[in-house]
Amino acid sequence: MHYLLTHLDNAWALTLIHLRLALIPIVLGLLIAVPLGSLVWRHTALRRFTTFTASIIFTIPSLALFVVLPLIIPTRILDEANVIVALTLYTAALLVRAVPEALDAVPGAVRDAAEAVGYTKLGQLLKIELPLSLPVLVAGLRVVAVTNISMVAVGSVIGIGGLGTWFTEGYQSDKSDQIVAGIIAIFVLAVLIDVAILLAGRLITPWARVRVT
Amino acid sequence: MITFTDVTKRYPDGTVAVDGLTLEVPAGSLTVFVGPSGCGKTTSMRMINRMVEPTAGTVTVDGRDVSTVDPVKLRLGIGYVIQSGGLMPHQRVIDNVACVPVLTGVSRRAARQAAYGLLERVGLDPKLGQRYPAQLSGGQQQRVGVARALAADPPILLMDEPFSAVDPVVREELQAEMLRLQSELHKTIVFVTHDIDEAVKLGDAVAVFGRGGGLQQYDAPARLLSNPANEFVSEFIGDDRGYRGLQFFTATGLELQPLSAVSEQEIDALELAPGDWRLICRDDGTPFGWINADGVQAHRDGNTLYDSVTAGGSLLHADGTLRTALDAALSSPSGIGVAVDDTGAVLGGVLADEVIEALDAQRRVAPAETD
Amino acid sequence: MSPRWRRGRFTAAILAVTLIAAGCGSSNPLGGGTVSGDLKSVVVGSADFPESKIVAEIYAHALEVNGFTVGRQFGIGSRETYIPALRDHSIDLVPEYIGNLLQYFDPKSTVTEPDQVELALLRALPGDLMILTPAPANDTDTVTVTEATAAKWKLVSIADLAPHSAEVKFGAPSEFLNRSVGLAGLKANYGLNISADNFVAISDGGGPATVRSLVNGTVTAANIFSTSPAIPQNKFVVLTDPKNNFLPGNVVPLVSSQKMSETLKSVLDAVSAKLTTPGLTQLNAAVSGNSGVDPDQAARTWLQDNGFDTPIGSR
Repeated sequence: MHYLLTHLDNAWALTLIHLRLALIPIVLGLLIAVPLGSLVWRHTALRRFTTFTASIIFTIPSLALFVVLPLIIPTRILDEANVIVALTLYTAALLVRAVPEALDAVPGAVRDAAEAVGYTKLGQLLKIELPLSLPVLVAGLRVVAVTNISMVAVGSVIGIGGLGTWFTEGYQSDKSDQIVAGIIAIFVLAVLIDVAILLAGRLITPWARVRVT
Repeated sequence: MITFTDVTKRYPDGTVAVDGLTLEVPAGSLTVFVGPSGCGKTTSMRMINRMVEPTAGTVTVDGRDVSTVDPVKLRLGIGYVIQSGGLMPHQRVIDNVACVPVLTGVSRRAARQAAYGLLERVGLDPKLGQRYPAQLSGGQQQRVGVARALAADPPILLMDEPFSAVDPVVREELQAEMLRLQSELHKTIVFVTHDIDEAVKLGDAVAVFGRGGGLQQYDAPARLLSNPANEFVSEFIGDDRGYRGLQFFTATGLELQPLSAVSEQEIDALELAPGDWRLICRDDGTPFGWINADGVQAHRDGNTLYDSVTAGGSLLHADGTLRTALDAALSSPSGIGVAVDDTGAVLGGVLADEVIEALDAQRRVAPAETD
Repeated sequence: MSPRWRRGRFTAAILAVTLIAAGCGSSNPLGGGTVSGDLKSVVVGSADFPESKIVAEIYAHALEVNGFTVGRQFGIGSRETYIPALRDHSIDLVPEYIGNLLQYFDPKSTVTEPDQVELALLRALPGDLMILTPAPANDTDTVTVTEATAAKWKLVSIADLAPHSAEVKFGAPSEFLNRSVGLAGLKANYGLNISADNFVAISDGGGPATVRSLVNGTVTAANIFSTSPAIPQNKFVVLTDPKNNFLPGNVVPLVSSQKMSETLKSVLDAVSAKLTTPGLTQLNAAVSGNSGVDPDQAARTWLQDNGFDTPIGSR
């Protein structure tokens, strides 16, 4: 606690980095995973293939990614973009499985009714299926977001570890205060993000909040 | 008009859901598809709006083969009601009702305006429009489902067991609403149910499907009950079809017995023999119940009117059928059914014998068709 | 689609773009490798352990005091990342150790004498990298035991441990198992034969976990870096290495050739000259423990104490 209080500036700077590295991949990951997940949702073979590929991506060690990425995209090895791209890949890999699962949660009777009253396939996806998948998707997103908060640590390989640098430094220098400060800060951050997504989710799903007769 | 010409639905694993169905649904009529589960009634209906594609045969709507029409356009022109409403849970009731017109290009505001009117039409308080479907009861959700199906004023309505998921009291109300709406709108309706009584009550024509998807009989309800085509149909209709058939005979013209009723004040003065009953009436002439000797003694002993009187049977109303007339007589403790007028005041008594005589008379006039 | 829903999606899109822009703005994520011709502008990097961060800050602030514009990128994980970073000009300067750096660029090298190591390193470096004058401060791998073990077996040098090979459990990072200066070197040079079963891999580079396992007896001896404050703190005994099994680890600035200049060299050489092994050990001690200061704090104090808080010419 003492360390946290005496290093507030540093804490703030590290928190901003940490947030950037955790949240931007979420947004980008969603932008990739929602269309992709929706596309493969009803095609079993494609869906299995995508899930399989996603699991493989998840196992690529981040160090390998950081060395390879600058060769593919125009970044230098220490650039923050490497971490963001790597985390986006991991996030998209996680979400591309969560999206079809969230869509599965839409009741079959509702989908049938939507088709029968005259929605086009695209209309069904955009106006009925995706909106109704939101509660499950938001739940999955909360898990992915909190996971990302800890995954930001992969950036420490290139010196961008966010609040995780307090763990490593505290450990190496035998400063338990610093370690505790790191734990508290990351925990608080994770809780805030979780609650933020929870509230945002509630906001966009008003029908899920009403009291049922 | 909807026609099925030798329509078959065979699934890849070999099951035959619909077997060579040929039938014609007249425009403006309410046709019921009825049968046990797995008989292909729902599958057949869903071939009309192409939710299921036939493996053989053709389905036409107003002369056009539906397989040549774009499915989305087809469905926008056909109303569809399913069990438990099939409402979109994330849209308010009003938007659920307005959804088809909006899909066809009507402005959302105009569609919503019209939707309020539709809610009233199906017997709902327009204020419910602002709620979400989950906040409505099962019966209310069903009505919304019907309103949604009617919103774009389609000539055809498909209804898949729409009233099966609600309790019997609500079901009766909904059935009555359905008949009332149809008498105003004259849509071409295909109605699927597994309940033969519902089929016979609602349908202008009833198609009975057997297991394996074959059509067993397609007839007016009265004929179905009086002349089942085969053993399957008669077993499916079940016992009491004679009794149920009485609903197709009117009770107007039924001779009523004079019925002397007494008021509450006169009870204590009654002298009744064992087995004797008297009808108690309120001041406005509406029947309260029947009282016998034991009841009179109980009343003299100081018991309340309510405790002394035996509840009466069902009532015969002005628009009643021979079935309701007979039931009034049978269910009355005295054996005399009570007939009432529009205000509920007692008109007279109904005897079971009279009902059977009236039945004979009507049968002679319209001889039963025998083949 | 309700208006609120439409608005929600729109807001989300704006938020996303803003976040990305903020992310982009702060550290030039997609900038290409700009070859800056400005010799007075230098980016100093460090590895991801305290000693490296302290020395890097010493270099950085000394340069600042002498008129350089200095950027800092500390805590870069390992050689595999910061050497390429030097070569793609993301950083320009990083503190290194002559022995291990030689092994990185010339794994087959068999040179062990300190002067020869520096020479060999100069030859082995690629054209775009240079080293300046190494400091006297020497941080090497060691074979370290507790005071009690040293007393029990009368240990002074690594050779003294050889007779007890069978009982020795050795703690070190896992690559030590296979490195030529690792178990193989100990066996070749001193006859200290530690079986693979008796090797305990501890991945914190001689840090707290290694120290703990030495203290509580999980290992008999461990590889603890020679400038670790844990050695004096726990009264550990470092066994001598007369045959130079472990390469010398003099601290040396590794510079990107394009940033090389007379001024840079004169500042860093002056700093290196004052950096001694005891001094380095003291710096490590200064940052250790909850009462320890931050690495940059320790660096600044050292610079002050050694007169580097004023520009070099003006002294």
